[in-house]
Amino acid sequence: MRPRVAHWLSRPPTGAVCRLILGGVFIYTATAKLLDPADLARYISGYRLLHPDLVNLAAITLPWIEFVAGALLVVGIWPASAALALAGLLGIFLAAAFLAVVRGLEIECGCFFPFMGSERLDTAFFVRDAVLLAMALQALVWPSSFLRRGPSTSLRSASG
Amino acid sequence: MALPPNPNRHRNDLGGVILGALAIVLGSAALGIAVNHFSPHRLPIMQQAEGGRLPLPAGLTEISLAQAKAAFDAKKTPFLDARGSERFAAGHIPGAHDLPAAEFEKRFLDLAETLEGAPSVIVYCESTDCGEAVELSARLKEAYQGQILVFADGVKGWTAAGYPVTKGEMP
Repeated sequence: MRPRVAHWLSRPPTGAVCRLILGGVFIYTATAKLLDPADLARYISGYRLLHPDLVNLAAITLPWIEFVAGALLVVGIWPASAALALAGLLGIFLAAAFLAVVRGLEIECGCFFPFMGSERLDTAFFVRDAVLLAMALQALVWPSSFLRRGPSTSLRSASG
Repeated sequence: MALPPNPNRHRNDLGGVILGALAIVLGSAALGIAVNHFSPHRLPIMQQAEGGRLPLPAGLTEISLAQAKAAFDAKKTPFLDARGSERFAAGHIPGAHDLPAAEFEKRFLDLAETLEGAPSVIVYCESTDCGEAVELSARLKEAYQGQILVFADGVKGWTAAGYPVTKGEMP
């Protein structure tokens, strides 16, 4: 990566913006999902990736993972770990959406996020999730925190 | 006396990040299960409600295979296939209309006249664990005044019972 880009990405204000946007998005969408897990179960089922017996378990646990990781990221507790958890989720969402499109499933994404494009698995969806994934990776490599402590070790320092 | 640098520090740091992420995931999942257990809208964890069927939202009525067949024979109630055009063409209930949930806005107007005089419609997708029929029903509720019936067994149940299916796109 070019030094200037790396320098810009590593600046605390960049990290703070990424953390607040990413964490805020996940807190918002998770809240909508928490209010109606049965509805979320139907969306998850539409992807046809999970065994039907596991759909409800995913609908019950997924919003809480999103909510807790988003909140930790916003507050700045364990930011690198929270970013890693959210990056993992975003990777899973992108892979599931890609598989749905490849298999010709005409389903809605179940994103519960009406302010950023439609609920369809279209180009806007992939761009939106890719941008969020980039933010998660930024927060993972250069974690910043309003607080000073926690295992906020970055992967950058971890890799030497 | 100054301690020498710990050669395992970086590995421990990376391990700490991964362990922290695992703790977040597992802790949150446990929290979700606990909250669900005490929730008035509790979902069964390892199985779907009502014998493997997805729970229907309020305002929708599920019909059985026999009821769907009776409606099919009476030829009075329109069938709406929510699965998407490709799977519709691969095999659908004869006389059904292709109305994918994801293309509702674009395609509904074509069917508005057909649905206008019908007191009820039957919506279906692939099987009991598909979600498109419920998605379509949710959208239909905003535009259609009649009763929405969800045939949860879908094409899979219909075919398994030996009932006819038609291939090809909607005329």
